Amino acid sequence: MLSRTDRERGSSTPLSISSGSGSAGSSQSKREKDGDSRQIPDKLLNRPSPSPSTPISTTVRTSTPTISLLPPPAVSTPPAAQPIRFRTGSRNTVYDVMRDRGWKETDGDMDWDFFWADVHWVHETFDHVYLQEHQRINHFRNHYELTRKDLLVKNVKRMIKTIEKEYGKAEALKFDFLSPSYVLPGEHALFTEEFKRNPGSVWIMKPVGKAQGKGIFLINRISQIAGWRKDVRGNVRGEKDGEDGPEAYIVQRYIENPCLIGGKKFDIRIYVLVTSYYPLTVYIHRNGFCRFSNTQFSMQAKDISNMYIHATNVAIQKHSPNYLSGRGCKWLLRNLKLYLTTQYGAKAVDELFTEMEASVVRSLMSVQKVMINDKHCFELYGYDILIDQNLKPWVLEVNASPSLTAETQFDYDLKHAMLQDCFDVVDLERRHTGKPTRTRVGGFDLVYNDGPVRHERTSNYASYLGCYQPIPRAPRTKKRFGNAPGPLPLTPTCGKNASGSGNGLASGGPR
Amino acid sequence: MLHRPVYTSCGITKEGLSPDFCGAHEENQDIAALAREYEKALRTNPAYWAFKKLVRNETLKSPNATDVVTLARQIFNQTGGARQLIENHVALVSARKKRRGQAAREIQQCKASDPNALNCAERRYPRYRSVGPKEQLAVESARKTLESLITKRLNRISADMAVPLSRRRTPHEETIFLDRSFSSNQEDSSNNPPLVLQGIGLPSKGVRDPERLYLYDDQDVLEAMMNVQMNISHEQSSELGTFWSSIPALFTRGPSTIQEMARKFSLLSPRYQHVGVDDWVDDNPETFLAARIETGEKVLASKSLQQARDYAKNGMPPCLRAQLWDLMLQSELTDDLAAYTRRHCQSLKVDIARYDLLIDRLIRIDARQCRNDDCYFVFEDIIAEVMSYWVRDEWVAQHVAAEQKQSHVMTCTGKIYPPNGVMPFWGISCYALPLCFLHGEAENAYMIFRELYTRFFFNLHTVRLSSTPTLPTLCKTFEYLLKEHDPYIFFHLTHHLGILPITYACRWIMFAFVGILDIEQVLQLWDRMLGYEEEGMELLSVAAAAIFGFRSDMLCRARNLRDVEHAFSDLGAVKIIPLLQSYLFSR
Repeated sequence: MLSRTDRERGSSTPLSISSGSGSAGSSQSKREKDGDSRQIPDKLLNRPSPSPSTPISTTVRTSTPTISLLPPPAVSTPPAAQPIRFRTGSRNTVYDVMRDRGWKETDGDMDWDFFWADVHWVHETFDHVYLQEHQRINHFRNHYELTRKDLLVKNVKRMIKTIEKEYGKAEALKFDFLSPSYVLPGEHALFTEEFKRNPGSVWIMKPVGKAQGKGIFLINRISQIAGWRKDVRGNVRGEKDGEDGPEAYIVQRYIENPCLIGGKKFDIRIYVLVTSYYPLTVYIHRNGFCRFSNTQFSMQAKDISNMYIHATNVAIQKHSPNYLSGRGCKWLLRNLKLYLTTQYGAKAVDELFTEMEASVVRSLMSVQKVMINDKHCFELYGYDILIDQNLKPWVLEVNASPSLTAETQFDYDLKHAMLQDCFDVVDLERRHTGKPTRTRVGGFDLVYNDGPVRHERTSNYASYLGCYQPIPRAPRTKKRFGNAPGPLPLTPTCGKNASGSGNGLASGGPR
Repeated sequence: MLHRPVYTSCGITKEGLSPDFCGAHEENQDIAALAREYEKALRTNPAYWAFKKLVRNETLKSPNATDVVTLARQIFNQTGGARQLIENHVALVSARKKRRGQAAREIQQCKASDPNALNCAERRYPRYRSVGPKEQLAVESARKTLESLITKRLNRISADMAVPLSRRRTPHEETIFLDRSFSSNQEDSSNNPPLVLQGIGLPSKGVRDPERLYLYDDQDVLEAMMNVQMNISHEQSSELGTFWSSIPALFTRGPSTIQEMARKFSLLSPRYQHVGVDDWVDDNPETFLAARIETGEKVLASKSLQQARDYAKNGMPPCLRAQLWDLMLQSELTDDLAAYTRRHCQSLKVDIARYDLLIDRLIRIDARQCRNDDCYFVFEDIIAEVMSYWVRDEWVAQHVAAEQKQSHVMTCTGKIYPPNGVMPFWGISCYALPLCFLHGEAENAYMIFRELYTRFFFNLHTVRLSSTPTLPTLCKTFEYLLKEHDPYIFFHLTHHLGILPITYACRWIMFAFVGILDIEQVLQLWDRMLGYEEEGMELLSVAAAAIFGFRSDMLCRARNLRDVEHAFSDLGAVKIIPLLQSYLFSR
């Protein structure tokens, strides 16, 4: 009758799955068996037609049905009485969630069952340690293949080429979820050519390795970039240099017609949980949210350097003169869905959300080949997606460490609930070991498990993204929100505006 | 009456029309004369010309020009054509006229009638009883008290801020103002200091900050309502006085039992399929919704007011809501709503730029409160624009003033102040918030808002007696329902804890549940409310009572105010339609 009914209905109905290939432990052996024969992406690429002939019971497609015959992976459970020991450097929502689950913090270097690591540790130490059977960690070794802007561009471009060769142009077009991008300085000549082909176009420059909107600026003349090149000449090296190489940039065609609500630009943050790359297992959380700029959008030339208009990153918006601390600018995806449905109709919105989901999965498929799979690892990504006025979603970037620092109580509850769901999926407590993969865990819906997942009840597949998912009150109220004061992230172009708000509250948390 | 002239207007004469049209010869002539007059009047309306043009084009297209009459009639009568448009307009206008007439008649009646003339039976079982002059007087004086409070506060604010109530801008200031507010960006923060209070929700959540700038709030209205009682001696009230009720008995509107409500809102019954229920629990929600949308599109095509209302009673899919609400509510006779909207709002904009009103500032602060809400903050700018139109629109004054007998209207140099004739209470912009989900632009949202306001919301914050439900009668209905369904809760809260249930219910009803329920639930509740027209407002009472019933366990165990607050703290997760159904139809 009421929401709780729905909650029960949703989570307690185990949608039966016709596959047993979900467990991460079996993935290595499966990879060897399969060799490198790639999963044909066509099932994902062609959105299933709404024909009534679609078998209703279809849930998970696997290329290797035999996998279910494999014995369950060897389990070395820590003794049941002992609580799970975790290690983490962060003191934000994640820490609270792990404590609320009854886990115990440990400060030992390696005597943990679970490590919520930051990316630095992964880059520097991960390769030099040996993990025991039961130990889990929240990053993949080379996650930067997906999360560094230049590498993502490279991987997707390669994927497009492969697909085009194997399945034709129409299929390849579906991987067109990144706005045209060039890595500088490597592809400078290509970019100049493209720029000249589109006179008057606006492009956005992003440093490849930085997050939180640092170093981002817009250009509409090629001379602006020439000036920039002069500035950094001498220390620009190749893109291969990794994160300590200075300032490689990507330049990306700016989406000049973003979908606006209340006259303001927004982008969408959705949480994507990958528990394994072989087989690719992807969960997407229903409670994504929109992040708004605080200023009315304008494409006028005089506004082009105003980052408060063009960037929606919380870290930048915090310094906007219109920003009020104590109020996030986050809008639940559910609200967006309701709003867009009223404006554009249910069908267009279903298509949009399904397309968004598909873009996420396609981006993951693009890096699947290069990613080093590891049964110890899972990763929680924060996808940033922009919608344009034709309701086409564009993937802006992928964050390996989405911000888990709460700004408001609402924000805290949201992230707390999402992380709880995340740990339920990862299942360190091993409550679901040996059982079939669940298609829904809290707000996380399984969307890809070695093949697209379709849920039993729908004949025409629509994404669950943005569907109603209650946010329970977190067990504690957050005392202090926001982050410790820090230096302002200034960019050469928005310095004028930023100087107006000197009481800088920069974000210190990981993203 | 109104639909006749259009027949004659396109050069077609009367033959073959409705029987009363072709009566006796002389009558015919009278009618012809009348029709000519109507036609003249109609010429001011663009819809008339649009129709004429349509007929001409069609006539030119078809080869046999003799058939003009049938052709015109065809065009006039086709589904969703001019006839339907006019019928809708007439229905809406005459309903409004009727309401006004009724109110006037009632006042006349009670002035004439002797209070003792009511017979005993009627006094014991009040069934839409008319009120006596003493009661009328009591309400009147309560309202006057409230009004004088508002006037006092307004003058004080004016003095404190050193801003006159109204001031004409110089042409130079006007240009600056236009530049700033209507060119998309950067509103001047110097002129309106950001008076947003941190960490406080919408006014409808009942958090009160002493610092806020306001004329009156829900608390003041509630007090005014409860004070009416003081003025009436006990033998006049037919109930056991204050022990069993906090709202004076004179606000009883008629029998308000659950059974009665179930009969009145029988279409809400779970026997019918509902948006808001079946799209959640049905085995096949997609097919249900698709079928519902298909029916809805048919209703839209027919442009029939009545069909739309019937459709609304079972809920609307979100994708059709905007158009259907427009169909149900827009009362102006126009064939091109968009053009009308543009014209109207343009003239309002000019007015906004020309005069600087104190009320403008108050309303801007009020509109900015949505910044604090996780759902509505997005629409801050739109709301500010909608509310500033509302302040200036004399249309609102015309449609409201006749009913309310100039309460809250102050004349200041001969003009109504503010131009819309309504003194805003703290949080009035909440009414407009859900509409932003229907219309992306402020202008369209405003046009629907003013219709909704004059027909529904206006009744939700005024203390007066009327044939339509108003805040006091709705609160009274709520109390009856609560006492019938959960007498223990009523007793426990009122007499053990000293917390009047009405303090919560009154706020919920007054804000029509905006900010209390989730946005989707608010819209679904409003769907039903609109479907049942003015009577539908009683659903707000039922909803409030149903929520008390839903939380009865927690309320029974409540030991203090905090427990009660806690019981109502997570209403955002309530699904209101199933709750209403279980409340009304489960016995």
